[in-house]
Amino acid sequence: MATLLNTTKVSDATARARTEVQWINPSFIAIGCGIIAVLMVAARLYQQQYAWSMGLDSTSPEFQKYWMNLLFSQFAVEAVAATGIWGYVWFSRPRDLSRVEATEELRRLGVFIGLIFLYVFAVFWAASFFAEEDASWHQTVVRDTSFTPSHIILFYWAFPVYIILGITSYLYGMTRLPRFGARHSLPWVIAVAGPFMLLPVVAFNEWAHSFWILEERFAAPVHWWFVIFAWAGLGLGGLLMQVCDYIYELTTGRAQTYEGTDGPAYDPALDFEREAS
Amino acid sequence: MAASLRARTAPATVTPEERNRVYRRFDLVVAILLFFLFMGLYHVVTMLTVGDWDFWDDWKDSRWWLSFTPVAEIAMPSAILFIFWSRFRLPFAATFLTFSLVAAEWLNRVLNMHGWAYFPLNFIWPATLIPCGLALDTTLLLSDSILIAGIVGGFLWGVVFYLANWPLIAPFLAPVNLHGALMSLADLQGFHYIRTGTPEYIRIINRGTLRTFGQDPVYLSVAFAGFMSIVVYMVFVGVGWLFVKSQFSWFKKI
Amino acid sequence: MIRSRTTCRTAARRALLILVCATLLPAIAYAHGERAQEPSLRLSTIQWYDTTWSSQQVSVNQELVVTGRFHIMGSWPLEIPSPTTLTFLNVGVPGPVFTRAESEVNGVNGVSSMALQLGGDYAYRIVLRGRLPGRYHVHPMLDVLDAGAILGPGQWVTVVGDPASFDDWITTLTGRRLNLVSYGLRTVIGWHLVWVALALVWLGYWIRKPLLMPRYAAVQAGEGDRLITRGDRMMAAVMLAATLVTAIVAFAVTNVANPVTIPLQSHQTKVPALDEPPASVTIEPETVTYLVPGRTVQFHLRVTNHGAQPVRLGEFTTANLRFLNASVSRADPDYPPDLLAPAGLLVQPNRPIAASESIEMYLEATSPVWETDRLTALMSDPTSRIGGLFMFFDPAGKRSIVEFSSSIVPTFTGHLVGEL
Repeated sequence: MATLLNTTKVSDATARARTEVQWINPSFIAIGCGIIAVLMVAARLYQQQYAWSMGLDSTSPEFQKYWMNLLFSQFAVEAVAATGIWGYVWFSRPRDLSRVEATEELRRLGVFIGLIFLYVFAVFWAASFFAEEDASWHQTVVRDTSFTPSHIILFYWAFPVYIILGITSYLYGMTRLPRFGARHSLPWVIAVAGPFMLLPVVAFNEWAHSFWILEERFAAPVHWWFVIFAWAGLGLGGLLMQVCDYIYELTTGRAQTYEGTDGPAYDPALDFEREAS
Repeated sequence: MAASLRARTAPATVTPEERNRVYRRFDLVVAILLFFLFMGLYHVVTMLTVGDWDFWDDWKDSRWWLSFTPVAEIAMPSAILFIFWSRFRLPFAATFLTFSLVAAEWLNRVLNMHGWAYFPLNFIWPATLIPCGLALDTTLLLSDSILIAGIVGGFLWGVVFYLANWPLIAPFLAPVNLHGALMSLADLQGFHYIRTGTPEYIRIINRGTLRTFGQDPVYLSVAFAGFMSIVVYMVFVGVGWLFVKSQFSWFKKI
Repeated sequence: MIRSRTTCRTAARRALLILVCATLLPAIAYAHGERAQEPSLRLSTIQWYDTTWSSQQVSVNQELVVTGRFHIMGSWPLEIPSPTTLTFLNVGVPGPVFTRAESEVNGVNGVSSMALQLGGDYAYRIVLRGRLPGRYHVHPMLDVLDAGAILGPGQWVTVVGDPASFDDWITTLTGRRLNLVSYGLRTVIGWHLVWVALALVWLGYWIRKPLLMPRYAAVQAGEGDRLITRGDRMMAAVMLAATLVTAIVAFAVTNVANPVTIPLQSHQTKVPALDEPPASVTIEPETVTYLVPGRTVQFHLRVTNHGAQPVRLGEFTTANLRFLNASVSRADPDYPPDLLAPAGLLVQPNRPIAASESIEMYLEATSPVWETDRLTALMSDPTSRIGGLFMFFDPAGKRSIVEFSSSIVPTFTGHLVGEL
């Protein structure tokens, strides 16, 4: 059965119709980014409307109504979305990754890259847009709760969105692409797990701010854990080269070699083939 | 030459034109992806290390801002520069990162610090690191050496930061007298525009020490920035090397 | 325990008043973060008094003057960093909706961060200017290094007018007159655009060429050095020269345009307390309890008048709440009503204390705000302490302020004097 993400065909190439090569789909990326942008802009507009008017005093009933209810709603939406999306990717997976035609594999690689694009786009909203916005709130008002209007959107909306997308991308690669299905890529694991770890760092930071870090500088050692885990995003550099090796193999029919850079004799990503044969 | 061991009937692309179309679309998608990635990653590490100096005029002093900013900021470009130069011979990482950073910062200052918290833009403007990135990238290409780029380009990175940002801050260092207190316009902005969470004493600025040699610490700060940038570059090129090496790390179980 | 001789009618009135306060009035003091702070700290650190706001409505550019005094408790909690290090007189407003034109503490310019004395009294004055239309709660506040912000009482102030008309004209020491609202922005944006343009040239030069796969394959095949052409080197040389020349020229031009500059200024100073005569009254706590169901703090005190004149107890104030003995003291009509306890301060005996007399006094300070403002969340607070200021007045109206600090214990059973 063919679905959007799962079209497994092993066909006779001599009879294959010469259609345009299916690769990264710009419409998929545009629509995905559009959805993410709508979610984030909506959050930003909500802050514009209700942060100063209802969000300054966490003990007030207005705060409970406009902000704590939003927080709990966010948790519910995220739980449903994560379960739904991850469940769909997992249960719709093809059962056999051993016989995938190169054109199909390239198409899936294009979807994989598209999903990574959405992941990175969501990371931008969280790590850049809402993170610095957090400074403009906390350096301007008196902090009286961990669940400030800026934190509710930054840590409990934007962060979970990119975590959901990162794990979705990871699951897709694991279930659709033979290379990523047979082995776990270390840089890719780092690129997904590292930014995920920012959420535990949030807990540490809120604990610190409640008890002893009472000044609102951003330049404080307690924040450096965020920096360390943000660096994990550089795992995408390693993944980029792995994807280049993959594209090379799919488009030329030959595995990448590394004589020019004194690399290994063969691409270790293909170890699973050697073991299978 | 190791062929793919799987039974492929044919590669995904047959003609060079098809292949080039695939490659070109990959280029463009990755270029835009890198823009968002660099905005996200470089901006977050910037704001959490040197952010306070960058957010406000009245933090942009001659000791911490001038030295700490370039030294902290060369780390990520060094690592990414190594990845793109060693595997792609692309000398644009530092410029791409600093360009993305400036884009992300302006977006935030206009929409959030100004649009949400109502601070005037002439109080919250970001510094620019683009000239530092250009100096580093071009030095790399001209020298064709990671080491020389670090020594020459790294030093230029630290020094050019001061040269290029002086025109931005200088107008705000004009002196005024506020009821008997000498202040710069930047200090006055900090006093005028109320920040409940950021009292005066929280600023990490030059407050004078008994050991500041000579009148003006600017030249010390700039020299320190230049030399320390080289050191940080060397260390983080190593981090880049580790990420490059990770290309061949595949595990059966995590 | 002192028993009341109040009549049943008075008792009924008092009970009704408490009921009304608890149920019908909103009984909230509008807060901006201070409610989340531990009550024992808010009650025991800084006491704000004599706070006035010059107006409850100002136009854009019009001044609003906030004056008053604050007392730094001599019994400052030892577990909290002390204001003897550094403090800063600040304003609790939601961002720069006002600008601060000037301020002072005991005559010292408020641009300074200040080291203050425990037990000291400080008179402050803050001049604000309306900037953005809206209705805002305006508090004086004191930031204390490593301790956080301690907010004073808040008053609603409305700013009206056109926000675009806000201006901030400054004359520098070199005689230049400028509007600080927009000064320097064009220069900043202009230079940013120059550097962005150069960056786009360099990035565009590379992105227009095949970027990734062909270069990657060439490097892996050992052909990486052939990827850098003579044209690339020329371009790099031009870009490097353009970068350095632009930076140096910009630097030189800037020095010509701004011949006089100073570094950022640091102002940190010690500020002595007001030279007030010592209080003529001393107070020793015997027991202080909080009756939870009645929302009342009950004081049993020994009060001694060391002065030459008789005095009467007029007010107890703590954490911005004021309990007034109506027969002695009245608040200014413009004072925020939510900070005045409707039931006032019950004082027994409610009579002058003669010179050299020492008596036992019983006080009740009743207000639902104890609870709504979380000032008595004693069950969850690791310390149970109450502090505040008692204000005594002699027949001429001369005021004597006495700092008070005591442990406090909640009770769940007991009677108010008014109920008997």
